[in-house]
Parts: sequence; structure tokens; C-alpha cells
Amino acid sequence: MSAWRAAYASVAGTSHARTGLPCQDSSGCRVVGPVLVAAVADGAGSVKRAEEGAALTVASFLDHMAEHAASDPALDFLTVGFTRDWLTALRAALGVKAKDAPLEDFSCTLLGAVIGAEASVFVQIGDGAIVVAGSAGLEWVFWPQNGEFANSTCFVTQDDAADILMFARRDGAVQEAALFSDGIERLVLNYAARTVHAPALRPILDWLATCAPDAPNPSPALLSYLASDHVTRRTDDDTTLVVATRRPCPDPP
Amino acid sequence: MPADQIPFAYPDLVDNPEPRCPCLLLLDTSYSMRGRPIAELNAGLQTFRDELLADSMATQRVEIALMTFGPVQVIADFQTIDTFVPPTLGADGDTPLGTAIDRGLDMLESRKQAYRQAGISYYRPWVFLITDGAPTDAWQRAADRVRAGDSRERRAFSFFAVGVDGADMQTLAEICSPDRPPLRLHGLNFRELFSWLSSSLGGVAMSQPGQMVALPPPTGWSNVG
Repeated sequence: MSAWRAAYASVAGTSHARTGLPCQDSSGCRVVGPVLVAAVADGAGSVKRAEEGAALTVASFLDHMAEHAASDPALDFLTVGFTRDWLTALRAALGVKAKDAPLEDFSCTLLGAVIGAEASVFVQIGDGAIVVAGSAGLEWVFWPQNGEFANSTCFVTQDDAADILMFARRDGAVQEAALFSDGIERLVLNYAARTVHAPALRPILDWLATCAPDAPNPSPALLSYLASDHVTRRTDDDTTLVVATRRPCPDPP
Repeated sequence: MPADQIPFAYPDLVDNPEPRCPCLLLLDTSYSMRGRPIAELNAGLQTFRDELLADSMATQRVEIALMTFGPVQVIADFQTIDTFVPPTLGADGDTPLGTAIDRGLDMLESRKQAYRQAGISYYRPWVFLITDGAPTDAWQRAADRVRAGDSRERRAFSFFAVGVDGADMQTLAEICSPDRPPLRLHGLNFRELFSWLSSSLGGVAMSQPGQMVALPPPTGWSNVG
């Protein structure tokens, strides 16, 4: 198995640029030995400090999971209970930042992946999706958590966050993964068939396999792609994409 | 890195249908609407269509259905605004408001069902009732459905009622959610009302997850605004 190659980028949507809002998505990844830790958070459009909530959520997930994965790469530590405890600590940290302001000012979603050599764990609150390469090609781990309406979703800051947290552990090696916020969800998932549209990710994953493991991040290539007309004429929301692969580098043509 | 140096072939993206923002209009065409009121209402519908058509996002996402009472008739089933032809309504019936609400909510339910089957996401629907009279049929069941659906718990739809001069505001208040009391139309300012409705729907149709939509104040058409 080759080393992990990972790339991530978040780009402000054209609607945010128009209304003067910053990019409220945050993303990142960390490689600890054989383990890849990746996270995405999408700050709620209408709250004051959404981008701070998203940044803190991603940083906290990466730090905490990477620290434990370093000493337990089999990921035996990573249970639902462990994830809920982390969520409680995250909410407390957000509360400290908020001081007297409501926690909702920091509302954001969470997509997290911790992928070890032979086991992986995925967690999610809200919309966006995590996609992995399975036996039948690219497949989603959780369908986006939207509630009934197109403009509703769930956040790490809501009171029942621990209950609505979606958690999945998979045994066996996951070779490729992608995480993305709802800004490109409609461009990658086929809603009617409820499948991943593989051609929406395949060229990116194939390119990534040819990259150096220490290529710079945030990825200039992904930043260009997400900011390109190819994407922005289809969505005006913030966009985030994290991709990771440990497929062996294909032979040069 | 310039866009022409993206190091991979442009991925093939999915063309999912746009999410829909359904809006049901329940319009009073009873005898008392005759003359200027119905003429102004018709002009308001024209304004509504024109202003929604001018908003490219609303044109793709807002779906209008129109039901009149009385008698209760479906004038237009849910459709995007580009195919919506504003009718010229006449006024010569009684005011079966309860039946109109009941049938309208059924129509809304089946539309939501169709969206779900087709994998189309949708925004919280709006029901917009305009009347100048008092119900001439039983309306309690309709009121129960409105209050159950437009509640903080269910939030199945938003129900707005507008009373034209002569409307039984007391009964309208009993039908509406306590959070969304009926508004009284100022004179015959239907055009201003529909202009407000189109810009409000436009705001909903472009909203993203987690974004609360602040409605513009109902100034220019309502007596409270």
C-alpha cells in the first residue's frame, strides 16, 4: 500500500462574494503513519461567526483524532462514545469562544473521516457527504442530513447534536475517499437514483494518485477547480472538496 | 494556477433538478369581489408573474398553483412560472373558504409526494389566501389543518391570509397560526402585495441550508406594515 496523498480546498461561493460574506466552509487533513484524518465543516449562512465555528470544528477533529490515532493506529479507541465525548468537548470550546453569545452563532455541519490500514470510522452531522471507494465503486457513507426542506440542515451546535450524529465503522481497507460540503453535493450525488456520480470525482482521484505525498495544501489545483466556471455556474454556495488516495501511483503513459 | 492549468480533465457533474419552492394561491372569487377588486387582483397576478420571471433563480425554482373559491376550482396546478399564464378571473360565487383550504392542502401534499418520488428537494411551501368575505361553509377542519401544519413543531408549510376590505378578520385569525396573524390589505393594493410576494419567494428560493430567510416588511400593501 502506498502512502496517503491528500488534497483539500474551500472556496467562497459567488453569492457570498456578492453579499460580502466570507467563505464559511473549512477543511483539512492530517496523515499520521498509516492513518488519514480528514474533516469538513460548513458554517451556517445566517449566523454571525459561522466561519469561526467551522474552523474550530475542523481543527479540533483533526487534532484530537490524529493524537489518538498516533498511539492506536488500529483505531480501537474510536467508538461512538469516544466521538460523542469529543463533540461535548468541542461544544464546550465553542461555548468558551462564544462567552455570553449563543452557541448557535457558531453553527456548522461536520464531516469527519479517520481511515486506518484495516479499519475506518466516519462521522457526520448535517449535509454534505463522505464518499469512499467500495467493492462496487464510489459510494456514499451517509446520505446528506437535510430534514424535509432544501434549506434546512443540522449543526454541531444544536442541543441534540450527540443524538443526530451519524457514525459508521468499516472493516477492511479503504483506498480512496472524498468529503465535500453541500455546495457541490448536488453536482456529485444523483438525487433521483441516490448514488454517487463517479465521473464527478474520478478524474480528480486519478490525478491525485500521481501527485507527490507532500504536495502543498490547500491544493492550488483544487482551489482553481472549485473557483472555475465549470463549478461556479452550477452553484453559488461555498464549495469544499477533500480527496485522499493510497492507490499505487499509476505507471506513466 | 490559472483555470486552463487544472491538472485533470473537467469532471462530469450531475444535472440534478433544481429544488422547488411551491406556492399555492387560494383566491376568493365570490360575488363581492366583482368590479374593481377582481380587476386589481387580476392585475396583481400579472405583476406576480412578471416579477418572478425577472428573477432567474425564482424562475427555475418557484412553482405556482392557483385555486379559486367559489366555486372551488383548480385554475393551475403546480408549475414553474415560465409556463404559468395568469388567468382573468371573474367573480360570481359564494365563499367556500374551508373547502378551498382543505383541497388546497391536499394538492400541496400530493405535490410534495411527487417531489420525493422524483428525488427533487423542496423548500417549505407557502400557502397564500386572499379573501374579502366570511366563509359560507364549515371551516373548522381547515383551521385545524392550518394550525397543525403551520406550527413550530410541524413547520409543514407557511400559511398567510390577507383580508380585503369587508373580510371577516376574526375568522381569519382563528384559521391562521397565532404566529402568523392575518394581514389586512390596504385599499386594493394587490400589485404591491404580489410584488412583495414575488420578492419574498425569490429570497426563499435562493436560500441555502441553515440560512434563515428574513421577509421584507409588508409595507405598501398592508395596513400593519
